[in-house]
Amino acid sequence: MSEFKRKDGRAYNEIRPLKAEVGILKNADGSAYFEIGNTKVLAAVFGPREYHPKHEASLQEGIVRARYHMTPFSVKERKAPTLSRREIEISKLIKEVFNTCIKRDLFPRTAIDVYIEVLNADGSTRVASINAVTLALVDAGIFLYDLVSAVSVGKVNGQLVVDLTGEEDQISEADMPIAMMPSKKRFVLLQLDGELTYEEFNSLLKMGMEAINKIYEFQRNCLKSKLEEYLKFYGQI
Amino acid sequence: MKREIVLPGSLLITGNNLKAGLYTFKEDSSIYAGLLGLFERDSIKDKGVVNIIPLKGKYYPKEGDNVIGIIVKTHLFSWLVDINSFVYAILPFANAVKAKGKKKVKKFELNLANYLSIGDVIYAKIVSFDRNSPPILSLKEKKGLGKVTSGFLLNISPAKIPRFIGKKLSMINMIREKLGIKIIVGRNGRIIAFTDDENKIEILKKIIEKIELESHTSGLTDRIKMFLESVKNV
Repeated sequence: MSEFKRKDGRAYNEIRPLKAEVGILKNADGSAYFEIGNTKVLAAVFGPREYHPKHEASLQEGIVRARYHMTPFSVKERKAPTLSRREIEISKLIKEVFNTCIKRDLFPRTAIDVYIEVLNADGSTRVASINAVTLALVDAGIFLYDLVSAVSVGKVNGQLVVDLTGEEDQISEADMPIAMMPSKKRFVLLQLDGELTYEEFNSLLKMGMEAINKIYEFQRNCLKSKLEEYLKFYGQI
Repeated sequence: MKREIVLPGSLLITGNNLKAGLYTFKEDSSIYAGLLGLFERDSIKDKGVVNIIPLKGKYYPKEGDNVIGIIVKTHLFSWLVDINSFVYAILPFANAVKAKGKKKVKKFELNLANYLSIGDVIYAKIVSFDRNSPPILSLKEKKGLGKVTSGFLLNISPAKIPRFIGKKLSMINMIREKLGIKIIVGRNGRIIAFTDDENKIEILKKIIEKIELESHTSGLTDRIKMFLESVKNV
C-alpha cells in the first residue's frame, strides 16, 4: 500500500497543499479565503443581524443561512450563474452543519448569513467551503463550540484515498465528505456516495480523521498567525 | 499578567466550582472558549466565573451600559435605535422626554418627529435587556444623556472599547487632556469628539487605528501618550 502513488504524485493519505487567509473582505463582518490544491473558495459572513422576513425568525435562537455558489469561471466549461439543484443542496447541507456548531441562543430573532463563492473547482469543494466558513465565522466573532474541519475521502480504482481531486472524483467508486469538530471528536457531516464494505468504511473514517486533525492544526495556526502579524506591525513603537 | 490567545474550542480550565461566562461554555466540568479572544489565567482565582476578552464580534447589549445610537425608525410611541448590535434597541417616549411641570403630553397630539427624527444621534443608557425583548434605552437616567447635536462620530470595534477607556479611565482621560477636547464613548463601539479642528480628528482616528491593532499588548497607554507628545512637537 505504501508504494502506491496517485496521478499527482501524492501518497494515498496525503492531502493537497493548504493555504488560507482570514479577514480579506472589508464589507463583511468576517471573511476567509481557503485553498486546498486547485480548489479555491472564498467565504463571507454577515451577522448576527435582523432576520428578514421577520415571521420566519426563531424566537429562541439565531438561524444560519448559507449560499454556496460556483462562479461561472470555476470549471472548465462555463457554468450558468444561477443556483443549480446541486448548489441548493450543498447550501442546505452547510447551513445544517453550522446550525449545530454555533451557540445560537445568544442572539434570538437574528440571522447569520454565510456566502460562499467557489473560485476554482477541483474536487472537494464542499469540504473546502466548510473549512473556509469556519475561519470566516471566527473572524466575525461568532460563538462556535469548536472549529469545524472537513475533508473528503473515497475509493478510486479500488484504492482508498484522502482528499479527492476533481479527476479522481469522476472515476471514483465511492466518495465520502466528512466534517468534524476535532477536539470533541464529534461528527457534523458524513455523506457517502457509492458502495463500500464495512471494513473499507472504517478505514476510510480513520484516514479521514487523521487528515482532519492536520487541517484543524492548519486552521488554528492560520488564525493565530493573524494576531502575530499585528504584533510585528506595530512592535517597534 | 500573562495573556493567552484562545480559539473556539480551546480548553481553558478544569474544575468543579467554575461557571462559564458569556463567551465560554461548560462541558463535563471543563470550561472551553467560544470565541477568538484573550484569556487571563490569573483573573479567575477569586471569582468562579471564567470568561475571555473577545477580539472580534458585535456589541452584546448589557444593562447599565452607555451607548451611542442612531434613530432608524419612529413608531407610535417609541423610536427604533441602531446601537451597532444584532438587534435594534427601543427608546420609549416616556424614557426620552421630560414632562414639563404638571402638563401632560396628550398622546393623540403626539408627533415623535418633533422630538427625534430619523438619523439623529443619541447618547443613551440601556435600562433593561434580556433574551426575550430588545434592549430598552433611556435618556433620563443621568445627566449628559440625550440628543447629540454637534461633534464628530467615529467608529471602533466594540471589543476594543475597554482598551480605549483604559483602567480607571486612564486612557480616555489622557487623550482628552492632551487633545483638549471633550469625548464621549459608547460601549457599542461609537465615539463622539466635540471639536471642529480637523487635525485633532485625524489624530484621534490614528489613535483609534493604533488601539485596534495593538489592543492585545501591554503598556499601550504609555505608547499612545508618547505618540500624542510626538505629534504635538511636530
